[in-house]
Amino acid sequence: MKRRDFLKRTATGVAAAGLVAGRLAGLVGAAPVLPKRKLGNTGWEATVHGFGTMNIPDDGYEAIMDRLMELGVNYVDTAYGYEGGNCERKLGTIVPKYRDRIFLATKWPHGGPPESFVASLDESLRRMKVDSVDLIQTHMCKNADMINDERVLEGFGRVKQAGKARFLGFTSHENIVDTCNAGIANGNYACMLIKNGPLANQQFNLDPVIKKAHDAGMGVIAMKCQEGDRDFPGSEKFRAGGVSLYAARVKWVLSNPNITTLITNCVSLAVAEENTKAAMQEMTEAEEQAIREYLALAKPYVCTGCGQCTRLCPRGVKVADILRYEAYATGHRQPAQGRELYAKLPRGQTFAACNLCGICEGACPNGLRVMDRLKDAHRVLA
Amino acid sequence: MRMVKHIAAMLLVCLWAAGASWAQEGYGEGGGAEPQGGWAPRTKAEKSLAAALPTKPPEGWNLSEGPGIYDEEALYQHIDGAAVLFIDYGFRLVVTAQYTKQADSGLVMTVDVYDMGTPDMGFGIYSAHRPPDPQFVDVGKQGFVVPLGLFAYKGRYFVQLAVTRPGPETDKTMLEVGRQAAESLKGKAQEPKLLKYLPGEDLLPATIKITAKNVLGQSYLDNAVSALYKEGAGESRLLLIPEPSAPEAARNFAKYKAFVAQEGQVPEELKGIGQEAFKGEIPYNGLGIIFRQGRFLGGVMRIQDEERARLLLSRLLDKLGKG
Repeated sequence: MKRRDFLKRTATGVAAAGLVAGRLAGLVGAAPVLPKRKLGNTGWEATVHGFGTMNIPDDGYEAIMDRLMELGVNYVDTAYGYEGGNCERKLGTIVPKYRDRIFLATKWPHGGPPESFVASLDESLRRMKVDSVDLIQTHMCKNADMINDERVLEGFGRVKQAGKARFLGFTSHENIVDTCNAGIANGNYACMLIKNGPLANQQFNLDPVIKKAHDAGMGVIAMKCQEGDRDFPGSEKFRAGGVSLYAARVKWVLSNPNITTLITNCVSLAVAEENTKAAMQEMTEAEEQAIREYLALAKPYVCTGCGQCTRLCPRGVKVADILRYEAYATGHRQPAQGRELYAKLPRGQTFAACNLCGICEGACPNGLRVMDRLKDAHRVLA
Repeated sequence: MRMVKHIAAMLLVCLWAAGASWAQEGYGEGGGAEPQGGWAPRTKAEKSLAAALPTKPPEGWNLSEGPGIYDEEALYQHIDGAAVLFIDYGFRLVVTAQYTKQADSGLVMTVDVYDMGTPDMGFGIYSAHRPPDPQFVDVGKQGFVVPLGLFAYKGRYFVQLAVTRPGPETDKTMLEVGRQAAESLKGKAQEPKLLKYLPGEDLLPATIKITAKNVLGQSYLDNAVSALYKEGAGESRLLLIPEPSAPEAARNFAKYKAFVAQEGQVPEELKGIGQEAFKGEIPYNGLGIIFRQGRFLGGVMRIQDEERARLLLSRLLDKLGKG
């Protein structure tokens, strides 16, 4: 089902109604309105564009916040660790005057006893010069253990009782589907903040878990819609002008009614205005086409880990696993781990056993150049 | 003749050895070297950086993750969106390792050592993280600790340690590891050259900062040094931006002056301060005087006492004049 078709079919929904109202206002010449959507069961109607504060500049952050408030943005996200806490300090000079108009979210690091969570939030509140936040999120969760960690829940219980935070959420950047499923099942989480964009969706198939979270009454906040933006042969045309892939990705994320709000990295006034403007607009045909073309260009370079290659390999080579180990190493995330995992494979399952028949490449639904990737993997891991 | 045969024989041996190694690295059936585990830095830059990581885990700790190395393309995988800031500050590489306390698996220490390319940027990223009231420690050229971390810089390098839980023993280990990391990094503990222009009188040293991008909220102004100065009961802000050339400085001065005029009152031109100067309301920075001298732009903002501000500017211009 195409997203636009879905929107048309659910035109009576609150989310869609908000979008339609906003866009109708634009059509009749009134100032465009930033639509709002229900943030799960929090009771808050969040604007579809939220202020991501990760890299706000030293000079001009006040202007960015003032402008976003003028445009009606009512969701602000920050974290304990941005610039060693200096990001929250900057916000402390401006957030208090807007506190009653915004839903304020920050984060705490996973790990440590319940007291460490409380201490982290206390520091955040002190830096931001506010008494409480609306949402406290455990940062960078990547598995069910981190989600179900009793220390987090105990820590949240304490800060909630003290009136320092109203809702608990989590953020996830990797192993997103499993982590989100755990978050939904846990039942204590009001919101989740996950990366979402055309490329991430293609790679990780996030729509089902997003819908599941939405239907379970959770607020779904998206981030990093521009992530994964890189050049593939042929993609340079998107940089040359014409359709803005940048704006198209903002609209693409928001065309999913199960996403409550998209926070973007508002590093300058121009970016803040551009992103808010994009969030007020519906995708054009040209933008949809641009996204489709970009994804088509990206496909042969992005392994989704479906495992078809492994299943069909006549030699028993663990193709998909080897590509994953290569990602560990070439991404430099865990080169030691990548090599260690490769070393544990029996020789008959490594590239050494490959007879270059190319069946894996033919089987890949994305058209990935599997043989080249396997050769590269062996070069890096061996 | 014997020498020629000797050399030929050696060449043959070399060719055979090379052939053997190529065969080992050959692909497909019957080929393929046996995979080796472990991580080894490959380039000179990586080796230089890797020397800063502990050669063995601190006593009572195990290596639990890594070591790893990230370049610009992969940095997002390590520190997520915070990578943008590091890249703005000229990031080249980071090496990282994580250690877990043997007696307490919940206590984790992460060590990151960044190569930021130049001393200006090494200091710059450090200053971006430094709080207004730092608890300084003797690590690298300068360092400070916060409840769950240690930050330091030495020349082009930035060292960052983080723990999941503070404590006297942990803090001591963090300090030792941080010190050792800084000492292992090659090169002098250089201070950025820009800092030499800052007048010393009334300077609040913990406020010195290098901002990489979007200085004064303008996309065309980069790499500024700034600091706060005591001014009576308050503080004023001094700023200095080196431009690539005098003509570019002149262009950017005009642009910024036009921006200030557009935001509020028309700025008042001033004589006798640099080659050109104006006074006006600097957005979000109160009253300010901005000047151009050669290839430098600069100014004082949040002025409460104009006479003192002009004195500060004259000291700055004096230092610029001396080169």
